[in-house]
Amino acid sequence: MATVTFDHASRLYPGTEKPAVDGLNLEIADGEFLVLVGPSGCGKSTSLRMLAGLEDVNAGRILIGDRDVTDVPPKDRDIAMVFQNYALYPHMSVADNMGFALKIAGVSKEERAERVREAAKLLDLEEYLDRKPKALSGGQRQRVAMGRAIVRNPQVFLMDEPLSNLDAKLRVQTRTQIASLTRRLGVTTVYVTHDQVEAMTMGDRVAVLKDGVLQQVDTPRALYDRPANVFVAGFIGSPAMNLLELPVTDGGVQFGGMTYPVPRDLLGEAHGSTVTLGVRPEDLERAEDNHGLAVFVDVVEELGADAYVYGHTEFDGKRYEITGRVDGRTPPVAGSTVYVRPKEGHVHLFDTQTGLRLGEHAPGTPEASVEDLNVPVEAGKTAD
Amino acid sequence: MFKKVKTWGPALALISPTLVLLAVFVYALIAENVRISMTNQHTARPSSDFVGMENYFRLFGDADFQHALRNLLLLTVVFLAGTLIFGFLWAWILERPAFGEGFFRSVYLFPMAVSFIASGVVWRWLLSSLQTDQSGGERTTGLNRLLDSVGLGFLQNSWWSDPNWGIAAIAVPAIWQLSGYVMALFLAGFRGIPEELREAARIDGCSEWKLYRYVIFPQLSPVMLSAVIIIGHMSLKLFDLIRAIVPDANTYDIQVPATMMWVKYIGSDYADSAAIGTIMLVLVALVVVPYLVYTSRQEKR
Amino acid sequence: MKASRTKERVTWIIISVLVLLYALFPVVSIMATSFKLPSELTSGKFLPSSWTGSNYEQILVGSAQDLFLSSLRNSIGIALIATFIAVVLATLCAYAIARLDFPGKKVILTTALAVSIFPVISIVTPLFNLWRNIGLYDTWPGLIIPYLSLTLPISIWTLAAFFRQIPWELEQAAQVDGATTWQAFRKAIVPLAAPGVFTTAIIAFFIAWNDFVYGISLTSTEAARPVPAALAFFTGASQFESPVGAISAAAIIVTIPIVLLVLLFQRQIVSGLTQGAVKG
Repeated sequence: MATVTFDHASRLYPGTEKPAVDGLNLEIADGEFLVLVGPSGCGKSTSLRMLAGLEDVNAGRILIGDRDVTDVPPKDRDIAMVFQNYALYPHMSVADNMGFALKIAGVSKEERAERVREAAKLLDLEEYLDRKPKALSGGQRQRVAMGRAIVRNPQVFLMDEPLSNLDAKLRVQTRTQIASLTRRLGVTTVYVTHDQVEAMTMGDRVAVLKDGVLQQVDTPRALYDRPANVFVAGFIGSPAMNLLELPVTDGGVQFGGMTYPVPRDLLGEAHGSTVTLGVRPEDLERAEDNHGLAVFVDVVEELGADAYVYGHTEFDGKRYEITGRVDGRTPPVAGSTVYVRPKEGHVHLFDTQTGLRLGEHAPGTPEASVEDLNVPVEAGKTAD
Repeated sequence: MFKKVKTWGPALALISPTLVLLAVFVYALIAENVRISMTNQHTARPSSDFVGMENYFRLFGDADFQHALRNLLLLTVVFLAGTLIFGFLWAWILERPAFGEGFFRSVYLFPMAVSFIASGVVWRWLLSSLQTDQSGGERTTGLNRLLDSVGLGFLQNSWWSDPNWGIAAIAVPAIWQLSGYVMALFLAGFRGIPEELREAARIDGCSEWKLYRYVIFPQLSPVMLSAVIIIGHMSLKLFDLIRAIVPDANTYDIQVPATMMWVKYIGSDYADSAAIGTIMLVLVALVVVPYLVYTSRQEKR
Repeated sequence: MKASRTKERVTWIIISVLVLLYALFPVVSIMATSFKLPSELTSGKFLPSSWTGSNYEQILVGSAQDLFLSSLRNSIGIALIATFIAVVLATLCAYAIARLDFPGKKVILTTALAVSIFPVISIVTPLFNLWRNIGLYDTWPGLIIPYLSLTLPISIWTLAAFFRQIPWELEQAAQVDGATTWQAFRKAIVPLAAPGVFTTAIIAFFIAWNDFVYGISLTSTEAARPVPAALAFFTGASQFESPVGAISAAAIIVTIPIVLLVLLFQRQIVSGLTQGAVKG
């Protein structure tokens, strides 16, 4: 068990100008489950592979525990990795696959068999131990890949989109299994995914990356409630947050036919004459008095309890797509126009120019503080 | 009945020309060959008395033929070892991402494109053990001279002019010619191993050597087997290269069944020549048939 | 880290040079020999001291002209015709194997392919007898037919592998898009199949072109004797002159087209030749 530290770690691929990972600073606590998430090409896999030793670190350091592993080859790092395509050895049986690392490490045959059996029991793989990977289903292969990591009892688990090859149903099941398993074992885990739902449901903390730069690292709850910038705001949450560039007026921002009140000091922080206002679909409510933003309804998706309303609005010559979540019993009709406004205290304000969140105490998230932005939480404790 | 025609008809129409051709000009001829081998047609004068297996028994009892078989075995072993080692090395070098892969691949394959007869011309000279009289004393030729001039004179030898080991010298040009092909096979095998697997092995604690020992080599074994079969049966059939290097087929030092058969054929001893041909056929079948059975079983699984 | 990279690079370059020497030396030396004067052949020097075209002259316009040019004509004609027929027949067969399902497919395929492993030399004796009886000895058809048996199996093998990879639904897709059956085949399938057929043709040509055993045993005169066999009949300008120079020149001439083909199409040829062998 160990902590993991990225200390200004950068990776520049030969022949490129922009680093794939740019000065990454991250401290992962002992036993923590940290998820790296971001769109493709954001550097999340590269970061993981740097930690694994499969990519060179061009600047900065990486530490596992107190040991600087920046120039240590992968074989000496005492880590285990679960690959996207599992990377099972096709010529070995399940048992041999799982015991391979121990065999290389010179562990005795008896102990190896014992540890493989334990792991297989944990993963419900006992009856498949003699099979070759070829003869297994996708979900079973995934479990073997997990088993191979568990058997080693390493300092850190690395997982590179391990669920992306499973079908939707299995993915949801396995997701909970992995999260509970790693917590039970108490092994520090770094998990890469592009799926923000996976990130939110699994991670103790989630680190959001974009273009090789760390955007925010925090508990899922905090990411959702206090996104640090426009990118995180738009990336976390499904359907995505509505983001509107609104003109600043006296004492607030112009939200369609109404003025949404914003404290003056907050507005003072913003550069330029507009701010970006973000409001989640569930935080939009209908303005019965037609006193709000006029939204033309394009599509209504009825999901039973809820309905999602997809529409658009236009002002200042710009078109914005708007998504709202409404009661499933009284949805608006496609083709109609509805007036909406944000629920009081549930908006996020960002500087239009820098994209950064305005103010320490934005309306809607009264007691959150910025200080704990990059402080590891204790192991095994989820945000909610 | 009609249904049968419908399933068979189109396929039969498409494959029958080929089938007829191969049936008449290969399988019928093989049968004819076996028949001739059981007659006493040992001279140009037609004679077709059936003598059963007599020719075979005589051949196997013949010291010259035994020598030819022993040569064939030696040739095959050296040929196999050489192509596998070189082919693997070349593939291993090319397999690392490096510049000029296309160029080097062409270079490796280049020898294969040259006909045995054309390359035989130069190998005849290179593998010559003759000493030529020149002003200034005796001079060696070919590789011997080359070895001498680079200070490896002790490696000089009589090449193919050695009744015991001469045949191994013939394997040198054969190896030169076919290691490119074996390389292509290994390269395809290497390419079939995903990069992720190597990474997994490194993370599992493998050093480079152990990575090859436990992960790469075992997965290359089907390719290796293919290469052994392909090169092995080529070696059993090898004739034109020997003939190009040593124009007189009736040279004891390098006698293999193929050359011996040729000698009998030229000498109009058709029965013996056919018998040797049949023996070669059986030898090749002994190598290839088990392999075919094995692979088709593998496929079914 | 940097230093080890440079070191690796240097090692790599050294290996490459060695490999180049290994691969090219024999051919370069044939080439060098082909430019040597007869008197120089035994000098033991690698490069000719004075370059001469006399060997090429000898085989192209000189005393060996009849022997060489007629054999060149035979080789080109016979190899091309054999290649053409083999590719046509193999295409039919491969199509049947790849697309149609019929009983006994596997057995038929195996028996057809087994031919490629037989030692050619084993059927020379009966073939010689047969050809003499029906008058095909020393004629073009007399070589074309055995060349077919030589090239057909590998052609079928290569083509069937190619055809199996063609997404045949494209044909239906084209029909759905409004093409007639023939148009669908012509526009959707032929362009995909063409590279495979072409590669097969190269491999088949290459086998027919380089054959020696049939060439030497089934011909007796310039009427049908192909180049590889003819090389064995080369003699020096006089009894005391070695024909090695002329043979080298001829070898270079017959090797060049093949080498060019291989260099130009090495990728296709490699995939064609390795497809069957590498699938595990």
